[in-house]
Amino acid sequence: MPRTPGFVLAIGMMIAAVMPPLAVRAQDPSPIRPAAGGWYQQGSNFGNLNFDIGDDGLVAGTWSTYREGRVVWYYFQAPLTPRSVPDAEADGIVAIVEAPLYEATTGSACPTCPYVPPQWASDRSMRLEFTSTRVATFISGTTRIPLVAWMQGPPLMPQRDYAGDWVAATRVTSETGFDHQSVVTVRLQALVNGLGRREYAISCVRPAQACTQWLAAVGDTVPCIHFCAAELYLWFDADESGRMQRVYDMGLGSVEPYPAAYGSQDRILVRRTSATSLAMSLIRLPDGLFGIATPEDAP
Amino acid sequence: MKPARHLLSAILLSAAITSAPCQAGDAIEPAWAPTPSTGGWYQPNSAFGNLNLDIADNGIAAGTWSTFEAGRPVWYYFQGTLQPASALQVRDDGVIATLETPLHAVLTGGACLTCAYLAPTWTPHGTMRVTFTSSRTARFSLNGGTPIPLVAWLQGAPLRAPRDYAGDWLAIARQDAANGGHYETVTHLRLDTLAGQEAYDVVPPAMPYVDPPPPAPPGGARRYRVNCIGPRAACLTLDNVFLRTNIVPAWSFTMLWLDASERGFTIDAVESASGYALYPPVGLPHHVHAGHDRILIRAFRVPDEGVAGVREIQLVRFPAEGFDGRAWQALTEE
Repeated sequence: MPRTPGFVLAIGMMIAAVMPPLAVRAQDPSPIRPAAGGWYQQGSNFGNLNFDIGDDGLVAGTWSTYREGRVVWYYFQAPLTPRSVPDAEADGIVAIVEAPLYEATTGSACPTCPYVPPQWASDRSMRLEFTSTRVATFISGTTRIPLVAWMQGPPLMPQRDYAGDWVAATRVTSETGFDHQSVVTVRLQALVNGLGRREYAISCVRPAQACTQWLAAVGDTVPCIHFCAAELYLWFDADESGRMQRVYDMGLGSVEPYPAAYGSQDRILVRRTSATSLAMSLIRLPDGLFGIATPEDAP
Repeated sequence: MKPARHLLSAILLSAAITSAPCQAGDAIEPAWAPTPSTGGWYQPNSAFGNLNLDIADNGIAAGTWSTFEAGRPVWYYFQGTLQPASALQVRDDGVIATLETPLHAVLTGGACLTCAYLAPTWTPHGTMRVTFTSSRTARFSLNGGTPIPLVAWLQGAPLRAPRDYAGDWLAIARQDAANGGHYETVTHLRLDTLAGQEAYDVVPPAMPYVDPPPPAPPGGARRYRVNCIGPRAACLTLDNVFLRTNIVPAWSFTMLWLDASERGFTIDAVESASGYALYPPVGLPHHVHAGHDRILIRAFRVPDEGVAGVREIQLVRFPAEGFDGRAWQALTEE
């Protein structure tokens, strides 16, 4: 296997040496952030890819795997490139990481021994294409391997249940100058269906008047073809992405896309760009936190 | 070394699954808890390598430790249940969670990525204990040995610039006491950076004071003024019950400060030409635990300290396209 000469760099030095300075990047209005932590492919030789994400989008981590039956591990770092909402709607890819892989070849004698900076060799690179918060494709050369964030759901963990109360921070804007901003409490109630996906009816809990405005504004962003009720629901596939639609929509499809939904541990992002755009962040409320008294009843 | 054995990570995981303690819903137990960052942990300029951590919704923690042994690259697999500390431990001992788990040294695996699957072989390699003291600081101990301090490497110094918490936040606040008192509110807060001198005049309490006052910020602490943006009624609740904001004119304001470990306090402050005068707030001090896009402000009292109860404010970073404040004027508040 062709190898470049080994070089010696501490991890911290690598970040300083390989990465450009903290770049100020234009922020996507609602970036989808992949789950930090471990990614793998079940029942394969892939091993474990683990990464962390800095606030500025820098991704760094290690890939622990095998070559010719022996253990190896690689270090990588690169910026996370979020895709725009229209681009993500077009091909499903919400973010990309492209990075060289640095194989650790030698290091110190033990974790507590005197520090010897590790030596690295680089002979390959990788590209990660994320299609949701927990599904990605690992690409290296001609190899393409589907990955999942292993602690975020099946096959290793139970499927996440989004039922419960959430605080919804919502903004709806239109080309006509309409601008709705609100914070309301909503409730997701699980629906039974035979499609094998998780579906939740959304009801706005309070404050009542804000809920009326919220339902009208958000409802305007959800296309309807036939016989739709006013009520909205969210559904999620196994990859934690899904859509927001109207109850009783006949499902015949729409010229305009339904708002896309991306779930994670305690946050759901719902977004759509069109003549009327929607950006809604749902933040999980712990069970039983509220409801004993009405808001704003303090002296 | 013991003979190698074959195990799939899925089998390992299913063997260790238990539910993490659930505190939500208890009137005097905190609903939120500070949690360790998922991702990479390391010690700068040491031979430690990289500990990579992931945490499932149910508290299962698993990952790999990529390091060196006799100069050769090795990696270990681990999994266990993250044990969150009690609110009292968090407040008094500084420990937020502990992970104690066996390490499995990975010996061999498949010949190549796309070759036929060959289950990896593993061998036990002792036990690690990671004691998390904040969202980004921890102590690592192998087989009960000397603790090695770790930091979550992408979450701040020394590799990254200290996190700036200035900006807009959604605040979800509640207070519950054993005597039945309950308050709750959801507001829009803004944290403004305080750039005054790092000189503090700590004013002693005028009356006997049972609770220890919060300390002054250490050198280099990030300091913010807490402002409430709206809705007004919710801001008034926050101001009356939880902590002072700018919603009504006052002689002091709430300073929120954070040290390098992303922990800190809130304290009443008045700016002066020479720095800040700091006043102990009435009641328990508010401890602050911060992470990527969260700030938890919490005061906690056990029965031995008077009326048991908890006051907590969870701040969640507003999305980038967040509000400009007009919403609060447009909305008719209940």
